[in-house]
Amino acid sequence: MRTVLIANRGEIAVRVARACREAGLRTVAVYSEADRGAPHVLAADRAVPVGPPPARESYLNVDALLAAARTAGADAVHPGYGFLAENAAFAAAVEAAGLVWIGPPPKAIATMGDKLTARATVGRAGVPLVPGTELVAGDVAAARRQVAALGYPVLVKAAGGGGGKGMRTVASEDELAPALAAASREADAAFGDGRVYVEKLLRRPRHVEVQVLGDRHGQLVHLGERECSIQRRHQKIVEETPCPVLTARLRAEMTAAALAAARAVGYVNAGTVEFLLDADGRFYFLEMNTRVQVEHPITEWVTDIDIVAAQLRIAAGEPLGFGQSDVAPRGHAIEVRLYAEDPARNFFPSPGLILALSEPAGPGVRVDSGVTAGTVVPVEYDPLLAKISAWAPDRATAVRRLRAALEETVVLGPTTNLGFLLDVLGHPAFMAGDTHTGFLADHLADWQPGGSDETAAALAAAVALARPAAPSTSGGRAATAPTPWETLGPWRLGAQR
Amino acid sequence: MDVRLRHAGREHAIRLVPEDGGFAATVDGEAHRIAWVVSGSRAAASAGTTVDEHALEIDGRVVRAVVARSRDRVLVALAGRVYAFETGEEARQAAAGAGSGTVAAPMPGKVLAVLVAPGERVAIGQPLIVLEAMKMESTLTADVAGSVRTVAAVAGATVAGGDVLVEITPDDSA
Repeated sequence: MRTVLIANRGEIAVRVARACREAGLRTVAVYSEADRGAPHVLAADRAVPVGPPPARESYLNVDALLAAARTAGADAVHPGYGFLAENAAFAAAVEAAGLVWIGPPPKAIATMGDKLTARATVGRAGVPLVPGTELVAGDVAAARRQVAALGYPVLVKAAGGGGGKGMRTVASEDELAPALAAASREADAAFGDGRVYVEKLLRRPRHVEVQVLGDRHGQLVHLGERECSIQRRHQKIVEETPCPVLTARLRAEMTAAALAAARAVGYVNAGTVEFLLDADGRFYFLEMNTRVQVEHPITEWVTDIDIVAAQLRIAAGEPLGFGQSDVAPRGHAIEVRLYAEDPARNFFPSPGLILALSEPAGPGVRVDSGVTAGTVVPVEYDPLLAKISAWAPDRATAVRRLRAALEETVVLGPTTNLGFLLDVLGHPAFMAGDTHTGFLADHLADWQPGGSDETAAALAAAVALARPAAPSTSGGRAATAPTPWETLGPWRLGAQR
Repeated sequence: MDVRLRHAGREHAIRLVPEDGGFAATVDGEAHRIAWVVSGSRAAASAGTTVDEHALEIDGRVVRAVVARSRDRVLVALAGRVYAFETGEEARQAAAGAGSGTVAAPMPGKVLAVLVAPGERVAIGQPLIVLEAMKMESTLTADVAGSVRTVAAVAGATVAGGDVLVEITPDDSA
């Protein structure tokens, strides 16, 4: 393994490129026409175009990606997360082309990727499941009977994939038919598979997941849990480890169940077993994500294990190099996902040009970013801009540290969820560790932007308006070209006093 | 210098008078003291927008703000929040138009479903259009009660951000 093609974009492609470079591997980026000159392209040794902006024609285009690997002489493929990361056919095509697939065996991806097969498989291995049922396609009357037997409320989910796509909450029977139709449409668009199933909606569960790592020599370990309950549109926006309420006994049970689920499919490489944990301390298997997880940095913070580097070593056939007793999590880590979206308008995506960007810094602060000032957040893809995480010896310090980091952060241009994230972290219920998947609906449903600094902001605006506009106001600088000043550093002080 | 800024529907009147290297300021009649300002420009990424960075001491407190100015808008990033001020006549009209019954695509996307027809009566919050953008489905709803005057959206069509999709004649003007 010498040259890795990274079949992704944005922050995770940058993250993987860094790990490859550290490991002495060359990297090949791929990019759509919307991502020419994007940070993930600049992070690689070589870059190959793979098609027009729509993902189906570029980042999901298997033929174009394999051709790019051939053109650039890549001998391995890292899929990141999203796009084709959990596509067993792609993994198999990569291996059939004689390339190393940096991920789990295609068969494990297929088993866990079909959520119904996954439930059956891990259920046989003794892992507890959320009560649920498959639905007969198109038969609304039968669906009504099946769901009535299960009892409302239920969650409609896509059999073909996760990530919140094709997911709907259904509180009563009259909502069922439209929810099934919308979920099926969305699932078909996202996964090319419109099959849906239902699970009983647990009351205010926590979302707790376990990171596992396995090599090809039979070593399989877990790296502890992550608590990811704070979600909007069934997608996580705040993650932390350890879970504030997990007892040692519950942790032992959940991690053992996670390893059993992974073993049931002969798992190799990095993966995550997701559970719901109810208020009574019962937990249920939700799904297994057969790839590196967005929120992997918090596990890296507390374990000092580089998960992406481990993925590369495992794919190269090397032994993991450590055992379960070597994994000793330390301290507390929290991550937030910075999205170009408007929390006051149902988290609607807000693409566009980034006019100004400053990232936070300091001890115990980490930024995994996929954007710079001057780049455009395209409409075609997930609007994740960056992940900001913080580590500290204890949870309260980690919260304070992360809040301070977010206050240092500047994004002007697209509307972002930065202020919303600050309000999540500052909420008394969050400070108390009282998180569950209904947290945002309970505590921040009517959130509006703004803050206590409106007067100071108005004064800053007035001071700015009192200064002459920079020449760029009349100049015709290209709308998307980053200038040297934007890449040189966050501050450039003049001396007007 | 006098500046009028609108934020979240409220108008602020600001006066700045240069004084001792800073400003004597009033905001809506209340006095503030800006002891000093250190400013630097950041290259704007877009023609028509100026981005500056300002460190100010206001009433004894040091604040750092990044400010993006375009023709009728000033965005101020301060302590992790973004304050969007409107300055121009256009913005004033846009603000007055909120809840007017004009439903536009908030961003480029594809129309998945059109749920109303011209002449139909709608209530506030009633779903009108299902739009797919950035791989997520979103439902655009009526911002006023009234009757649907025009429907410009067709299922399957691609729309640009700002395209007017549905117009509703509000009840009080019908």
